Order: sequence, then C-alpha cells, then structure tokens
Amino acid sequence: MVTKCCQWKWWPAPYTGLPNVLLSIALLMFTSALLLNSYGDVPGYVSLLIVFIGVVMSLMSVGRSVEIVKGGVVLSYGFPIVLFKLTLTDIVHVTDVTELERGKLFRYFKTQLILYTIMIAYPLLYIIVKESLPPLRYLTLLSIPVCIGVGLIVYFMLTSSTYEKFTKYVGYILSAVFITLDFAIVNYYRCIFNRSIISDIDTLLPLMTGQVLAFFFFIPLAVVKRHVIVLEDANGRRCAIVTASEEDARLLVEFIAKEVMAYA
Amino acid sequence: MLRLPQRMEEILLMTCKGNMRSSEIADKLGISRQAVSKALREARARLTEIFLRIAEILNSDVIRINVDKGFAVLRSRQTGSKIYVMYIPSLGPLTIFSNKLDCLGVNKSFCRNVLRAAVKWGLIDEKAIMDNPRKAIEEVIKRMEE
Repeated sequence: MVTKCCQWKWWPAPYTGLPNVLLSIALLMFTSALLLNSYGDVPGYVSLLIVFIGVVMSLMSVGRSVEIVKGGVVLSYGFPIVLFKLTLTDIVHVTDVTELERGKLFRYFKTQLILYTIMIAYPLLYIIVKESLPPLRYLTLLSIPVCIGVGLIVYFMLTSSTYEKFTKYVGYILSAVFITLDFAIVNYYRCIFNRSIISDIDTLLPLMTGQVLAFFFFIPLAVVKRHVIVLEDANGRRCAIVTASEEDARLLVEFIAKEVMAYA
Repeated sequence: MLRLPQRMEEILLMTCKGNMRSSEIADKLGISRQAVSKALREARARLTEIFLRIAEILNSDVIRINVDKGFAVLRSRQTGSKIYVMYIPSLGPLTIFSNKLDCLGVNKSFCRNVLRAAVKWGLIDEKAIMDNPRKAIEEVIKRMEE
C-alpha cells in the first residue's frame, strides 16, 4: 500500500539532509544581502542576486509530500516541482515532539543551532572583518538577524507543558532581547552624537521597521500550534514532519507505527 | 500473548543496549548474519504491535514509540492523561499511569521490574536505581518525555 498524503495536512520539515543545507544557506543569504548592501562596498544588483538565489534555494527545500509505503516513509522536497526525495526505512522511533513535556527539537537537530548562532554573531563578525564598530546608520539592520537567530534558538530549545506557556515564554524572551538591543543602540547613538535618537528620523525609522519585521516573522509561529513528528531509523538518521493540527499528528503517528514500524 | 520470543528479546537488547553489530551477534549466538537481521526486524515490528495493542486496550492515542529503548508514551482518550508503557524483557509490557509512584508495598516489585528493564534498555544507569527507586522511576519518565 502506498499512501501519499497530504500537502495541507502533513509536510516534511527541512531540518535534515540536503533540504537543511539549502534552507540554511538561503537564510544566511537573506539576512546578509541587506547588510551587504548597506555596509559592504558592493553594487545593489549583487544583493538582489543574493536574495534571488536565496529564494530559489528556499523553494528547493520546501517540503511537498509524505508518502507512506510498507516499511518506509518517502519525503519529497521542492517547489513547484519535486526535486529530490528522502527515504527512511527501518524506523525504530516515532514521536510527536510537541506532545512531550521535555521535547526539544534541538535534541534531534543540533546542527540547526550552528546557523542560528552565526546569525546572532553577525555584529561581532562585522567588527572582526572590518576591524571597526558598525556605522550607526542602519545599525538596526544588524539587530534583525540577531533577533531572528535568538527567536529560532528559543523555538528549538524551549519546552513547556502547554503551548500557551510556550508562546508566553517565547514572547518574554524576544521582548527582553528587543528591549536590550534597543537600549544598547539608543545609548550608542547618544554617546556618539550627544543627542536623542528620536531627533533623527532616518535612523529611527529603520530601527522601528526592523523590529516590526522581526515580530512579523514570529507571529505565524505563535498563532498556530503545529505539531512536529520526529522519525528516527536504525542508523540514527532523523527527519521531521510538520502536521497542521493535533488530529493530523495523531493520525500520522498511528499510521507510521502501523504501516511502517510494525511491518517486518 | 504480549511477549517477544526470548531469542528476539536477546538480539534486540544486544543491538540496543550493547550496540553490537549483526556480525558480532551472529558470532556470539552461532547463527547467520541474515538470521540476526531478520530476527531484529521482526522483533522491532512485534514490539511495535505490542505497544499498539496496549494503546487499543487502554483506548489511548500513541504519542511516542521507541522500539530501540523498549517504551511507548500514550495519551488516554478519556482522561487526557499520559500513560507510559515499558517492555520488560522476559515478562512483557508494564504500564505506568503516574510519574509519582511511591515504590512501597505492592508497588515495590513493580518498580523493581521497571527499573531493571530501564537499565537493560539503556534508559538509565545502574547506579541511578541504587539510591532511591521513586526518584529513579521519575528519571525514567523524564527520559521518556525528552
């Protein structure tokens, strides 16, 4: 029996293998293109090209469908056409991580943290590469990858007994990070120009825009409770499937247990 | 009956706890590598079936099945509470309905069986069960919830 189901119910998450590599590079490209344009000595079209390549790579890593066959799970990736497939057989472990009290995604996908840490370290990397502090103009742009990096790390490492608590904690941590960053930027501005940042609309506007954009990035995360199902094979290879609802997660776990794991 | 044949249990435990390769197990048991692989595949499938059967009996949904660690986590459809199932080698599956077991009186042998199995499956260290069985049970459940 082959069950191909269902783009709107279950879809593979790009946390492992080639999709993970592609999405990680794409994420780095998105966050660095704007900075390159603002800080680097590169023409505008280079940043646009980087963004375009990033878009293509992220589309290549989009999870399309989950096929359950006797003894295996086939995950398809790529948009608008399926570009590659991952097959997992000999599955020994299936878990709905979202339902576990201490279920951290980080435990299963440790390499993700490397990427997010790089994003957090952007300002530091700038200082190392340029051997100077970042220019004040567009300084807030540097805070966007930092906020996104922190948010994703929190998403991967934070656990809570309920989803409401989880979103509450994510909100607290992100607010604290934003406020700290704003405070640092405002102080930095005052030290240099000896006046308030509010008097400089050209600097204030990107600051506000950047933070609003970073918040928008996390709204989908907080509004809908997605369940993440992690599968592991006998060789320790892991992959993740996202489900649209709790009911879909329940069905998928049961389906995999019955059709794949119980199949000798 | 909800139990694995002894040879299958043996092979599964050697693979999961002992991290032994098929060829090593084959040498030790004096059987072919293919026979080990087949038994291992069948053992995992049967263990999954046992957990699914328990879920059906208890009218529960499956949250987690880990056949290489010999446990499953279920959620009761009626009460919504979690149920932990551990497969005890040479005994069969045991269910834990609460993470606050006192491990005294009638629960004593139950706790002992669960903890011995947890050590066999490599969920906790042998040292952990020496001090306080109740804490050790909590530790086992923590591992199942990670």
